[in-house]
Amino acid sequence: MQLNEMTIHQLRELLRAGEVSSWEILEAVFAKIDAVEGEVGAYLTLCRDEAFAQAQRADEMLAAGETSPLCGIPIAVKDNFSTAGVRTTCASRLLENYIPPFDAAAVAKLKKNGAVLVGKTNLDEFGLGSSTENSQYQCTRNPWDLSRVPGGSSGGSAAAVAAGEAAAALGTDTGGSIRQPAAFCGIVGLKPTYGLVSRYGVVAAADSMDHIGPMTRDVRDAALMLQAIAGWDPKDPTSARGDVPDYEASLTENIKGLVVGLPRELMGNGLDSEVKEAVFGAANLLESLGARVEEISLPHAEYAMATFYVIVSAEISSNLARFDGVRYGYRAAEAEDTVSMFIKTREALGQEAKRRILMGTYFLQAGNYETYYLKALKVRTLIKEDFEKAFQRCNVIISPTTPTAAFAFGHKTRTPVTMYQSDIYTCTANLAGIPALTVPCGYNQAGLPIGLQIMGKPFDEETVLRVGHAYEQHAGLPRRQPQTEVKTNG
Amino acid sequence: MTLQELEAVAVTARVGLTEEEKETFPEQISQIIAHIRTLDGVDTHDTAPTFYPIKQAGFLREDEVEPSLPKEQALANGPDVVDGYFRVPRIIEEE
Repeated sequence: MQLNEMTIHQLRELLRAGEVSSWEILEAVFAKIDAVEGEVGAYLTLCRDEAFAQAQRADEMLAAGETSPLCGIPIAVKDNFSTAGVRTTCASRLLENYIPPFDAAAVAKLKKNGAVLVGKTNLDEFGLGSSTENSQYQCTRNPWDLSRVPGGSSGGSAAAVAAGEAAAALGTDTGGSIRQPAAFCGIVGLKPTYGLVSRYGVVAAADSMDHIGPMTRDVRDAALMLQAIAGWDPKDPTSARGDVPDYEASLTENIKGLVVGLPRELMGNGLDSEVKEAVFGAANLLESLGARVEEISLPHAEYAMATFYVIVSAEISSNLARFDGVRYGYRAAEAEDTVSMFIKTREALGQEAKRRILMGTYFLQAGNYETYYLKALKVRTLIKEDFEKAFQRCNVIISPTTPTAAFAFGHKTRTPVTMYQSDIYTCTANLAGIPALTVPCGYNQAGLPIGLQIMGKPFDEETVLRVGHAYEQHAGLPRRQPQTEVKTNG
Repeated sequence: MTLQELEAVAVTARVGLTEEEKETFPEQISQIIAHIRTLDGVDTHDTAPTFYPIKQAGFLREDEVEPSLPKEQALANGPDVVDGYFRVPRIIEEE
Protein backbone atom coordinates (compact mmCIF):
# COMPACT_ATOMS: atom_id res chain seq x y z
CA MET A 1 0.00 0.00 0.00
CA GLN A 2 1.22 3.49 -0.87
CA LEU A 3 1.82 6.02 1.92
CA ASN A 4 -0.89 8.31 0.52
CA GLU A 5 -3.50 5.54 0.86
CA MET A 6 -2.80 4.72 4.49
CA THR A 7 -4.88 5.60 7.52
CA ILE A 8 -3.70 8.09 10.13
CA HIS A 9 -3.08 5.30 12.63
CA GLN A 10 -1.02 3.27 10.15
CA LEU A 11 1.08 6.34 9.41
CA ARG A 12 1.35 7.07 13.12
CA GLU A 13 3.02 3.69 13.68
CA LEU A 14 5.44 4.20 10.79
CA LEU A 15 6.31 7.72 11.95
CA ARG A 16 6.84 6.62 15.54
CA ALA A 17 9.07 3.75 14.45
CA GLY A 18 11.04 6.21 12.35
CA GLU A 19 10.36 4.16 9.23
CA VAL A 20 9.06 7.11 7.25
CA SER A 21 9.13 10.87 7.62
CA SER A 22 6.30 13.33 7.35
CA TRP A 23 8.15 14.76 4.37
CA GLU A 24 8.01 11.40 2.54
CA ILE A 25 4.31 11.01 3.29
CA LEU A 26 3.66 14.47 1.90
CA GLU A 27 5.69 13.68 -1.21
CA ALA A 28 3.47 10.66 -1.83
CA VAL A 29 0.36 12.80 -1.35
CA PHE A 30 1.53 15.48 -3.78
CA ALA A 31 2.61 12.84 -6.32
CA LYS A 32 -0.97 11.57 -6.23
CA ILE A 33 -2.37 15.08 -6.46
CA ASP A 34 -0.20 15.79 -9.51
CA ALA A 35 -1.42 12.57 -11.10
CA VAL A 36 -5.18 12.77 -10.51
CA GLU A 37 -6.18 16.26 -9.46
CA GLY A 38 -6.84 17.29 -13.07
CA GLU A 39 -9.61 14.70 -13.14
CA VAL A 40 -10.85 14.79 -9.56
CA GLY A 41 -10.74 18.54 -8.88
CA ALA A 42 -10.92 18.20 -5.10
CA TYR A 43 -8.88 21.29 -4.21
CA LEU A 44 -9.54 24.98 -4.77
CA THR A 45 -6.15 25.96 -3.30
CA LEU A 46 -3.06 23.84 -2.75
CA CYS A 47 -0.57 24.88 -0.07
CA ARG A 48 2.43 23.03 -1.48
CA ASP A 49 5.26 25.20 -0.13
CA GLU A 50 3.69 25.85 3.26
CA ALA A 51 2.83 22.14 3.56
CA PHE A 52 6.42 21.00 3.01
CA ALA A 53 7.60 23.57 5.55
CA GLN A 54 5.02 22.18 8.02
CA ALA A 55 6.12 18.60 7.25
CA GLN A 56 9.71 19.54 8.02
CA ARG A 57 8.60 21.10 11.29
CA ALA A 58 6.52 18.00 12.10
CA ASP A 59 9.56 15.79 11.55
CA GLU A 60 11.46 17.96 14.01
CA MET A 61 8.59 17.73 16.50
CA LEU A 62 8.51 13.91 16.14
CA ALA A 63 12.27 13.73 16.63
CA ALA A 64 11.81 15.76 19.80
CA GLY A 65 9.27 13.23 21.10
CA GLU A 66 5.90 14.69 20.02
CA THR A 67 3.23 12.02 20.57
CA SER A 68 0.16 13.51 18.88
CA PRO A 69 -1.21 10.96 16.38
CA LEU A 70 -1.80 13.81 13.93
CA CYS A 71 1.79 15.04 13.93
CA GLY A 72 3.09 14.90 10.36
CA ILE A 73 -0.24 13.77 8.88
CA PRO A 74 -1.36 15.53 5.65
CA ILE A 75 -4.88 16.86 6.06
CA ALA A 76 -7.23 18.66 3.67
CA VAL A 77 -9.53 21.40 4.94
CA LYS A 78 -12.83 22.49 3.41
CA ASP A 79 -12.62 26.00 2.04
CA ASN A 80 -15.10 27.47 4.51
CA PHE A 81 -12.61 27.21 7.40
CA SER A 82 -10.60 30.39 7.93
CA THR A 83 -6.91 29.73 7.36
CA ALA A 84 -4.43 32.47 8.26
CA GLY A 85 -2.67 33.70 5.14
CA VAL A 86 -4.37 31.15 2.87
CA ARG A 87 -7.30 32.35 0.77
CA THR A 88 -10.70 31.15 1.92
CA THR A 89 -13.35 31.39 -0.78
CA CYS A 90 -16.32 29.29 0.38
CA ALA A 91 -16.40 28.49 -3.38
CA SER A 92 -18.03 31.90 -3.84
CA ARG A 93 -17.00 34.67 -6.22
CA LEU A 94 -17.74 37.08 -3.37
CA LEU A 95 -14.67 35.79 -1.51
CA GLU A 96 -12.38 35.14 -4.47
CA ASN A 97 -9.46 37.09 -2.99
CA TYR A 98 -10.31 36.91 0.70
CA ILE A 99 -7.31 36.02 2.90
CA PRO A 100 -8.27 35.54 6.56
CA PRO A 101 -5.93 37.05 9.16
CA PHE A 102 -6.60 34.16 11.57
CA ASP A 103 -7.14 30.39 11.78
CA ALA A 104 -10.45 28.74 12.62
CA ALA A 105 -10.28 27.06 16.05
CA ALA A 106 -10.30 23.55 14.53
CA VAL A 107 -7.51 24.46 12.10
CA ALA A 108 -5.43 26.00 14.89
CA LYS A 109 -5.84 22.79 16.91
CA LEU A 110 -4.76 20.60 14.01
CA LYS A 111 -1.69 22.78 13.46
CA LYS A 112 -0.86 22.69 17.16
CA ASN A 113 -0.91 18.89 16.90
CA GLY A 114 1.61 19.08 14.07
CA ALA A 115 -0.80 18.22 11.25
CA VAL A 116 0.13 19.35 7.75
CA LEU A 117 -2.39 21.45 5.79
CA VAL A 118 -2.34 20.16 2.19
CA GLY A 119 -4.87 22.58 0.79
CA LYS A 120 -8.43 23.91 0.78
CA THR A 121 -11.13 21.75 -0.74
CA ASN A 122 -14.06 22.49 -3.01
CA LEU A 123 -17.64 22.80 -1.76
CA ASP A 124 -21.05 24.01 -2.77
CA GLU A 125 -20.98 27.80 -2.44
CA PHE A 126 -21.15 28.59 1.31
CA GLY A 127 -21.95 24.92 1.92
CA LEU A 128 -25.33 25.17 0.20
CA GLY A 129 -25.89 22.04 -1.83
CA SER A 130 -25.58 18.26 -1.96
CA SER A 131 -23.34 17.64 -4.98
CA THR A 132 -20.61 20.34 -4.98
CA GLU A 133 -22.13 21.44 -8.30
CA ASN A 134 -22.92 24.81 -6.70
CA SER A 135 -19.23 25.70 -6.48
CA GLN A 136 -18.61 28.87 -8.47
CA TYR A 137 -15.12 27.69 -9.41
CA GLN A 138 -14.92 24.08 -10.50
CA CYS A 139 -16.46 20.68 -10.69
CA THR A 140 -15.29 17.95 -8.30
CA ARG A 141 -15.71 14.39 -9.59
CA ASN A 142 -16.35 11.25 -7.60
CA PRO A 143 -13.13 9.19 -7.68
CA TRP A 144 -15.21 5.99 -7.91
CA ASP A 145 -16.91 7.13 -11.11
CA LEU A 146 -15.86 10.40 -12.69
CA SER A 147 -19.27 10.85 -14.33
CA ARG A 148 -20.85 11.12 -10.89
CA VAL A 149 -20.93 13.77 -8.18
CA PRO A 150 -18.89 13.36 -4.99
CA GLY A 151 -21.85 14.56 -2.94
CA GLY A 152 -21.81 17.79 -1.01
CA SER A 153 -21.34 20.18 0.34
CA SER A 154 -17.98 18.76 1.59
CA GLY A 155 -17.48 17.06 -1.80
CA GLY A 156 -13.87 18.21 -2.23
CA SER A 157 -12.86 16.87 1.19
CA ALA A 158 -14.53 13.49 0.52
CA ALA A 159 -13.00 13.17 -2.95
CA ALA A 160 -9.52 14.14 -1.69
CA VAL A 161 -9.55 11.40 0.96
CA ALA A 162 -11.08 8.77 -1.36
CA ALA A 163 -8.58 9.52 -4.15
CA GLY A 164 -5.54 9.41 -1.84
CA GLU A 165 -4.90 13.16 -2.10
CA ALA A 166 -4.89 13.56 1.72
CA ALA A 167 -4.88 11.19 4.70
CA ALA A 168 -7.98 12.78 6.17
CA ALA A 169 -10.03 15.97 5.92
CA LEU A 170 -12.14 18.43 7.84
CA GLY A 171 -15.67 19.04 6.67
CA THR A 172 -18.76 20.87 7.84
CA ASP A 173 -22.25 19.44 8.08
CA THR A 174 -25.46 21.51 8.21
CA GLY A 175 -27.87 18.88 6.89
CA GLY A 176 -25.61 16.01 5.87
CA SER A 177 -22.67 17.78 4.23
CA ILE A 178 -20.04 15.54 5.88
CA ARG A 179 -21.98 12.28 5.87
CA GLN A 180 -23.58 12.34 2.41
CA PRO A 181 -20.31 12.98 0.48
CA ALA A 182 -18.46 10.52 2.76
CA ALA A 183 -21.05 7.86 1.87
CA PHE A 184 -20.87 8.71 -1.84
CA CYS A 185 -17.05 8.47 -1.80
CA GLY A 186 -16.75 5.34 0.36
CA ILE A 187 -15.15 6.90 3.44
CA VAL A 188 -16.04 7.53 7.08
CA GLY A 189 -17.59 10.85 8.16
CA LEU A 190 -18.62 12.04 11.61
CA LYS A 191 -20.92 14.88 12.55
CA PRO A 192 -20.38 15.28 16.30
CA THR A 193 -22.87 16.58 18.86
CA TYR A 194 -23.76 20.27 18.45
CA GLY A 195 -21.34 22.27 20.59
CA LEU A 196 -18.63 19.61 20.92
CA VAL A 197 -16.36 21.23 18.31
CA SER A 198 -15.90 25.00 18.24
CA ARG A 199 -17.27 26.70 15.13
CA TYR A 200 -15.06 29.74 15.65
CA GLY A 201 -13.63 30.84 12.31
CA VAL A 202 -15.85 28.67 10.15
CA VAL A 203 -18.00 30.75 7.82
CA ALA A 204 -21.53 30.31 9.16
CA ALA A 205 -24.33 29.01 6.98
CA ALA A 206 -27.08 28.06 9.46
CA ASP A 207 -25.50 28.43 12.85
CA SER A 208 -28.00 26.37 14.86
CA MET A 209 -27.28 23.42 12.57
CA ASP A 210 -23.67 23.89 11.39
CA HIS A 211 -21.25 21.26 12.70
CA ILE A 212 -17.56 20.55 12.15
CA GLY A 213 -16.23 17.03 11.86
CA PRO A 214 -13.66 14.59 10.48
CA MET A 215 -13.74 12.75 7.13
CA THR A 216 -11.41 9.76 7.26
CA ARG A 217 -10.51 6.31 5.90
CA ASP A 218 -11.75 4.45 8.97
CA VAL A 219 -13.47 4.90 12.32
CA ARG A 220 -10.26 4.90 14.37
CA ASP A 221 -9.03 7.86 12.32
CA ALA A 222 -12.31 9.68 12.96
CA ALA A 223 -11.78 9.14 16.70
CA LEU A 224 -8.22 10.50 16.50
CA MET A 225 -9.30 13.57 14.53
CA LEU A 226 -12.24 14.25 16.86
CA GLN A 227 -9.93 14.02 19.86
CA ALA A 228 -7.80 16.81 18.43
CA ILE A 229 -10.60 19.24 17.59
CA ALA A 230 -13.19 18.66 20.37
CA GLY A 231 -13.51 20.81 23.48
CA TRP A 232 -14.86 24.01 24.92
CA ASP A 233 -13.89 27.29 23.29
CA PRO A 234 -14.82 30.64 24.87
CA LYS A 235 -14.82 32.15 21.36
CA ASP A 236 -17.87 30.09 20.38
CA PRO A 237 -20.86 30.90 22.63
CA THR A 238 -22.59 27.66 21.57
CA SER A 239 -19.55 25.58 22.49
CA ALA A 240 -20.16 22.97 25.21
CA ARG A 241 -18.34 22.78 28.52
CA GLY A 242 -17.36 19.41 29.91
CA ASP A 243 -14.54 16.91 29.68
CA VAL A 244 -13.61 15.35 26.38
CA PRO A 245 -13.35 11.55 26.73
CA ASP A 246 -10.63 9.38 25.20
CA TYR A 247 -12.35 8.41 21.95
CA GLU A 248 -9.78 5.89 20.77
CA ALA A 249 -10.16 4.02 24.07
CA SER A 250 -13.86 3.54 23.31
CA LEU A 251 -13.11 1.37 20.25
CA THR A 252 -13.39 -1.93 22.10
CA GLU A 253 -15.37 -3.89 19.47
CA ASN A 254 -17.62 -5.10 22.29
CA ILE A 255 -21.22 -4.21 21.44
CA LYS A 256 -22.89 -7.11 23.26
CA GLY A 257 -26.24 -6.14 24.74
CA LEU A 258 -26.46 -2.77 23.00
CA VAL A 259 -29.89 -1.92 21.62
CA VAL A 260 -29.82 -0.70 18.02
CA GLY A 261 -32.94 1.09 16.77
CA LEU A 262 -33.97 0.80 13.12
CA PRO A 263 -36.59 3.49 12.40
CA ARG A 264 -39.20 2.32 9.93
CA GLU A 265 -39.71 5.90 8.69
CA LEU A 266 -36.11 5.97 7.43
CA MET A 267 -36.37 2.67 5.55
CA GLY A 268 -39.38 3.47 3.37
CA ASN A 269 -40.35 5.41 0.26
CA GLY A 270 -37.68 6.52 -2.17
CA LEU A 271 -35.02 4.22 -0.72
CA ASP A 272 -32.97 2.41 -3.35
CA SER A 273 -33.34 -1.37 -2.99
CA GLU A 274 -29.58 -2.06 -3.00
CA VAL A 275 -29.02 0.54 -0.26
CA LYS A 276 -31.87 -0.96 1.75
CA GLU A 277 -30.40 -4.44 1.40
CA ALA A 278 -26.96 -3.21 2.52
CA VAL A 279 -28.43 -1.56 5.63
CA PHE A 280 -30.42 -4.67 6.57
CA GLY A 281 -27.21 -6.66 6.05
CA ALA A 282 -25.42 -4.32 8.46
CA ALA A 283 -28.22 -4.72 11.01
CA ASN A 284 -27.86 -8.49 10.80
CA LEU A 285 -24.12 -8.24 11.32
CA LEU A 286 -24.57 -6.04 14.40
CA GLU A 287 -27.01 -8.63 15.74
CA SER A 288 -24.48 -11.40 15.14
CA LEU A 289 -22.03 -9.38 17.25
CA GLY A 290 -24.41 -9.44 20.19
CA ALA A 291 -26.44 -6.27 19.71
CA ARG A 292 -30.23 -6.36 19.71
CA VAL A 293 -31.83 -4.68 16.70
CA GLU A 294 -35.33 -3.33 17.25
CA GLU A 295 -37.68 -1.62 14.82
CA ILE A 296 -38.57 1.79 16.20
CA SER A 297 -40.61 4.79 15.10
CA LEU A 298 -39.65 8.44 14.66
CA PRO A 299 -43.16 9.68 13.90
CA HIS A 300 -42.18 13.21 12.86
CA ALA A 301 -39.27 12.22 10.60
CA GLU A 302 -41.43 12.76 7.52
CA TYR A 303 -41.54 16.48 8.38
CA ALA A 304 -37.77 16.81 8.81
CA MET A 305 -37.02 18.03 5.27
CA ALA A 306 -39.60 20.81 5.36
CA THR A 307 -38.61 21.83 8.90
CA PHE A 308 -34.96 21.79 7.98
CA TYR A 309 -35.34 24.00 4.90
CA VAL A 310 -37.34 26.67 6.69
CA ILE A 311 -34.83 27.00 9.52
CA VAL A 312 -31.77 26.73 7.30
CA SER A 313 -33.07 29.35 4.88
CA ALA A 314 -33.97 31.73 7.69
CA GLU A 315 -30.55 31.44 9.30
CA ILE A 316 -28.74 31.67 5.98
CA SER A 317 -30.57 34.85 5.00
CA SER A 318 -29.30 36.39 8.21
CA ASN A 319 -25.75 34.97 8.17
CA LEU A 320 -25.06 35.76 4.53
CA ALA A 321 -26.09 39.38 5.05
CA ARG A 322 -22.48 40.03 6.09
CA PHE A 323 -21.36 39.62 2.48
CA ASP A 324 -22.12 43.16 1.41
CA GLY A 325 -18.86 44.25 -0.22
CA VAL A 326 -17.94 46.76 2.50
CA ARG A 327 -15.16 45.28 4.64
CA TYR A 328 -13.88 42.36 2.57
CA GLY A 329 -14.55 40.39 -0.56
CA TYR A 330 -15.93 41.37 -3.93
CA ARG A 331 -17.65 44.72 -4.46
CA ALA A 332 -19.57 45.57 -7.63
CA ALA A 333 -18.13 48.62 -9.35
CA GLU A 334 -19.96 51.83 -10.15
CA ALA A 335 -22.82 51.83 -7.69
CA GLU A 336 -24.38 55.27 -7.28
CA ASP A 337 -25.44 54.70 -3.67
CA THR A 338 -24.84 52.22 -0.87
CA VAL A 339 -28.05 50.23 -1.25
CA SER A 340 -27.50 49.66 -4.95
CA MET A 341 -23.90 48.71 -4.13
CA PHE A 342 -25.22 45.96 -1.83
CA ILE A 343 -27.73 44.75 -4.42
CA LYS A 344 -25.27 44.71 -7.31
CA THR A 345 -22.53 43.09 -5.23
CA ARG A 346 -24.83 40.32 -4.06
CA GLU A 347 -26.07 39.68 -7.59
CA ALA A 348 -22.79 37.71 -7.89
CA LEU A 349 -24.06 35.04 -5.48
CA GLY A 350 -24.94 31.68 -7.01
CA GLN A 351 -28.54 30.59 -7.57
CA GLU A 352 -28.83 28.24 -4.58
CA ALA A 353 -27.49 30.88 -2.19
CA LYS A 354 -29.92 33.44 -3.61
CA ARG A 355 -32.89 31.07 -3.48
CA ARG A 356 -32.23 30.32 0.17
CA ILE A 357 -31.64 33.97 1.11
CA LEU A 358 -34.89 34.92 -0.62
CA MET A 359 -36.85 32.11 0.98
CA GLY A 360 -35.37 32.85 4.39
CA THR A 361 -36.19 36.54 4.08
CA TYR A 362 -39.72 35.59 3.06
CA PHE A 363 -40.17 33.17 5.99
CA LEU A 364 -38.99 35.80 8.47
CA GLN A 365 -41.20 38.61 7.18
CA ALA A 366 -43.95 39.96 9.39
CA GLY A 367 -47.05 37.97 8.55
CA ASN A 368 -45.02 34.87 7.57
CA TYR A 369 -42.87 34.47 10.65
CA GLU A 370 -45.40 32.44 12.61
CA THR A 371 -46.67 30.41 9.67
CA TYR A 372 -43.23 29.27 8.57
CA TYR A 373 -40.36 30.01 10.91
CA LEU A 374 -41.98 29.61 14.31
CA LYS A 375 -43.94 26.61 13.03
CA ALA A 376 -40.72 24.92 11.89
CA LEU A 377 -39.03 25.60 15.24
CA LYS A 378 -41.94 23.90 16.99
CA VAL A 379 -41.83 20.86 14.71
CA ARG A 380 -38.10 20.77 15.42
CA THR A 381 -39.00 20.27 19.08
CA LEU A 382 -41.21 17.31 18.16
CA ILE A 383 -38.44 15.76 16.02
CA LYS A 384 -36.00 16.18 18.88
CA GLU A 385 -38.49 14.61 21.32
CA ASP A 386 -38.90 11.62 18.99
CA PHE A 387 -35.18 10.97 19.36
CA GLU A 388 -35.26 11.48 23.12
CA LYS A 389 -38.01 8.86 23.39
CA ALA A 390 -36.19 6.46 21.09
CA PHE A 391 -32.97 6.82 23.06
CA GLN A 392 -34.76 5.77 26.24
CA ARG A 393 -34.84 2.33 24.62
CA CYS A 394 -31.91 2.39 22.21
CA ASN A 395 -28.19 3.01 22.56
CA VAL A 396 -27.83 3.92 18.91
CA ILE A 397 -30.11 4.32 15.88
CA ILE A 398 -29.06 3.14 12.42
CA SER A 399 -30.33 4.07 8.97
CA PRO A 400 -29.07 4.51 5.43
CA THR A 401 -26.91 7.63 5.10
CA THR A 402 -28.39 8.45 1.69
CA PRO A 403 -31.39 7.14 -0.27
CA THR A 404 -29.20 6.21 -3.26
CA ALA A 405 -25.53 5.85 -4.14
CA ALA A 406 -23.77 8.77 -5.91
CA PHE A 407 -25.84 10.26 -8.74
CA ALA A 408 -24.73 11.66 -12.10
CA PHE A 409 -23.91 15.33 -12.78
CA GLY A 410 -26.87 17.54 -13.63
CA HIS A 411 -29.22 14.82 -12.48
CA LYS A 412 -30.84 16.74 -9.65
CA THR A 413 -29.83 20.36 -10.07
CA ARG A 414 -32.88 21.32 -12.12
CA THR A 415 -35.39 20.85 -9.34
CA PRO A 416 -34.26 22.01 -5.89
CA VAL A 417 -36.79 19.81 -4.07
CA THR A 418 -35.34 16.63 -5.64
CA MET A 419 -31.84 17.71 -4.66
CA TYR A 420 -32.99 18.40 -1.11
CA GLN A 421 -34.23 14.79 -0.88
CA SER A 422 -30.64 13.53 -0.79
CA ASP A 423 -30.37 14.93 2.76
CA ILE A 424 -33.54 13.20 3.92
CA TYR A 425 -31.86 10.71 6.32
CA THR A 426 -29.11 13.01 7.52
CA CYS A 427 -30.84 16.31 8.31
CA THR A 428 -32.77 14.95 11.32
CA ALA A 429 -29.50 14.65 13.28
CA ASN A 430 -28.76 18.32 12.59
CA LEU A 431 -32.21 19.36 13.79
CA ALA A 432 -31.72 17.36 16.99
CA GLY A 433 -28.01 18.14 17.39
CA ILE A 434 -27.11 14.47 18.00
CA PRO A 435 -23.89 12.74 16.85
CA ALA A 436 -24.09 10.82 13.57
CA LEU A 437 -21.47 8.74 11.82
CA THR A 438 -21.38 7.21 8.36
CA VAL A 439 -19.34 4.09 7.61
CA PRO A 440 -19.11 2.26 4.27
CA CYS A 441 -21.42 -0.79 4.31
CA GLY A 442 -21.12 -2.22 0.82
CA TYR A 443 -21.14 -1.48 -2.87
CA ASN A 444 -23.99 -1.53 -5.36
CA GLN A 445 -24.02 -3.42 -8.67
CA ALA A 446 -22.33 -0.47 -10.37
CA GLY A 447 -19.49 -0.68 -7.83
CA LEU A 448 -20.42 2.52 -6.00
CA PRO A 449 -20.05 2.71 -2.21
CA ILE A 450 -23.04 2.71 0.16
CA GLY A 451 -23.06 4.31 3.63
CA LEU A 452 -24.53 3.17 6.94
CA GLN A 453 -25.53 5.93 9.34
CA ILE A 454 -25.17 5.43 13.12
CA MET A 455 -26.75 8.08 15.36
CA GLY A 456 -26.33 8.38 19.11
CA LYS A 457 -27.33 10.30 22.23
CA PRO A 458 -26.00 13.84 22.67
CA PHE A 459 -22.30 13.73 23.66
CA ASP A 460 -22.20 9.93 23.35
CA GLU A 461 -19.74 9.85 20.46
CA GLU A 462 -18.03 6.97 22.26
CA THR A 463 -20.88 4.53 21.67
CA VAL A 464 -21.42 5.73 18.11
CA LEU A 465 -17.73 5.23 17.32
CA ARG A 466 -17.64 1.88 19.11
CA VAL A 467 -20.55 0.51 17.07
CA GLY A 468 -19.09 1.94 13.85
CA HIS A 469 -15.70 0.43 14.62
CA ALA A 470 -17.15 -2.97 15.54
CA TYR A 471 -19.16 -3.01 12.32
CA GLU A 472 -16.16 -1.97 10.24
CA GLN A 473 -13.86 -4.58 11.80
CA HIS A 474 -16.29 -7.43 11.15
CA ALA A 475 -17.96 -6.38 7.91
CA GLY A 476 -15.01 -7.68 5.89
CA LEU A 477 -15.71 -5.31 3.00
CA PRO A 478 -13.29 -5.91 0.16
CA ARG A 479 -10.92 -2.98 -0.06
CA ARG A 480 -11.66 -1.67 -3.53
CA GLN A 481 -9.87 1.15 -5.24
CA PRO A 482 -11.58 4.11 -6.84
CA GLN A 483 -11.36 4.39 -10.62
CA THR A 484 -8.65 7.05 -10.54
CA GLU A 485 -6.35 4.52 -8.86
CA VAL A 486 -6.78 2.06 -11.71
CA LYS A 487 -6.05 4.72 -14.30
CA THR A 488 -2.84 5.99 -12.77
CA ASN A 489 -1.49 2.61 -11.77
CA GLY A 490 -1.93 1.01 -15.12
CA MET B 1 -44.73 33.28 -5.17
CA THR B 2 -45.34 35.80 -7.93
CA LEU B 3 -42.61 37.74 -9.73
CA GLN B 4 -43.80 40.88 -7.94
CA GLU B 5 -43.49 39.23 -4.53
CA LEU B 6 -40.09 37.85 -5.48
CA GLU B 7 -38.78 41.25 -6.51
CA ALA B 8 -40.03 42.82 -3.28
CA VAL B 9 -38.29 40.14 -1.19
CA ALA B 10 -35.12 40.57 -3.26
CA VAL B 11 -35.01 44.28 -2.42
CA THR B 12 -35.49 43.53 1.29
CA ALA B 13 -32.67 40.97 1.11
CA ARG B 14 -30.49 43.31 -1.00
CA VAL B 15 -29.99 40.63 -3.63
CA GLY B 16 -29.82 41.51 -7.32
CA LEU B 17 -31.46 39.01 -9.66
CA THR B 18 -30.57 38.08 -13.23
CA GLU B 19 -33.26 37.85 -15.92
CA GLU B 20 -32.98 34.05 -15.83
CA GLU B 21 -33.53 33.98 -12.07
CA LYS B 22 -36.57 36.22 -12.39
CA GLU B 23 -37.98 33.66 -14.77
CA THR B 24 -37.18 30.45 -12.86
CA PHE B 25 -37.30 31.41 -9.18
CA PRO B 26 -41.04 32.12 -8.72
CA GLU B 27 -42.00 28.61 -9.89
CA GLN B 28 -39.14 26.89 -8.00
CA ILE B 29 -39.77 28.74 -4.77
CA SER B 30 -43.52 28.09 -5.05
CA GLN B 31 -42.78 24.36 -5.30
CA ILE B 32 -40.56 24.48 -2.22
CA ILE B 33 -43.15 26.45 -0.27
CA ALA B 34 -45.86 23.96 -1.27
CA HIS B 35 -43.68 21.19 0.17
CA ILE B 36 -43.10 23.21 3.34
CA ARG B 37 -46.83 23.73 3.84
CA THR B 38 -47.04 20.02 4.76
CA LEU B 39 -46.00 21.31 8.20
CA ASP B 40 -49.47 22.86 8.52
CA GLY B 41 -50.79 19.38 9.29
CA VAL B 42 -48.61 18.95 12.38
CA ASP B 43 -50.25 19.71 15.72
CA THR B 44 -47.90 22.13 17.52
CA HIS B 45 -50.53 23.60 19.80
CA ASP B 46 -48.67 22.97 23.06
CA THR B 47 -45.17 22.80 21.66
CA ALA B 48 -42.40 25.27 22.47
CA PRO B 49 -39.95 26.26 19.72
CA THR B 50 -36.37 24.91 19.64
CA PHE B 51 -33.89 27.57 18.55
CA TYR B 52 -30.71 25.66 19.43
CA PRO B 53 -30.62 21.86 19.66
CA ILE B 54 -28.32 21.63 22.70
CA LYS B 55 -28.84 24.23 25.37
CA GLN B 56 -25.69 25.73 26.86
CA ALA B 57 -25.60 27.86 29.93
CA GLY B 58 -24.66 31.36 28.89
CA PHE B 59 -21.43 32.71 30.23
CA LEU B 60 -19.68 36.05 30.53
CA ARG B 61 -15.99 36.17 29.86
CA GLU B 62 -13.64 38.11 32.09
CA ASP B 63 -13.24 41.68 30.90
CA GLU B 64 -9.52 41.49 30.29
CA VAL B 65 -7.49 43.63 27.97
CA GLU B 66 -6.01 41.48 25.20
CA PRO B 67 -4.20 42.31 22.01
CA SER B 68 -6.59 42.66 19.07
CA LEU B 69 -6.16 42.42 15.32
CA PRO B 70 -3.78 45.16 14.12
CA LYS B 71 -5.54 47.84 12.05
CA GLU B 72 -3.56 47.06 8.88
CA GLN B 73 -4.63 43.41 9.03
CA ALA B 74 -8.24 44.28 9.75
CA LEU B 75 -8.30 46.55 6.69
CA ALA B 76 -6.22 44.30 4.42
CA ASN B 77 -9.20 42.68 2.69
CA GLY B 78 -11.18 45.89 2.22
CA PRO B 79 -12.28 46.55 -1.38
CA ASP B 80 -11.89 50.33 -0.95
CA VAL B 81 -9.76 51.58 1.94
CA VAL B 82 -8.77 55.22 2.43
CA ASP B 83 -6.88 56.73 5.38
CA GLY B 84 -7.61 53.76 7.62
CA TYR B 85 -11.34 53.66 6.75
CA PHE B 86 -13.56 51.51 4.54
CA ARG B 87 -14.99 53.84 1.89
CA VAL B 88 -18.52 53.31 0.53
CA PRO B 89 -20.62 55.31 -1.93
CA ARG B 90 -22.29 58.46 -0.58
CA ILE B 91 -25.15 57.73 1.83
CA ILE B 92 -26.34 61.27 2.70
CA GLU B 93 -27.06 63.76 -0.08
CA GLU B 94 -25.41 67.20 0.09
CA GLU B 95 -27.74 70.13 0.89
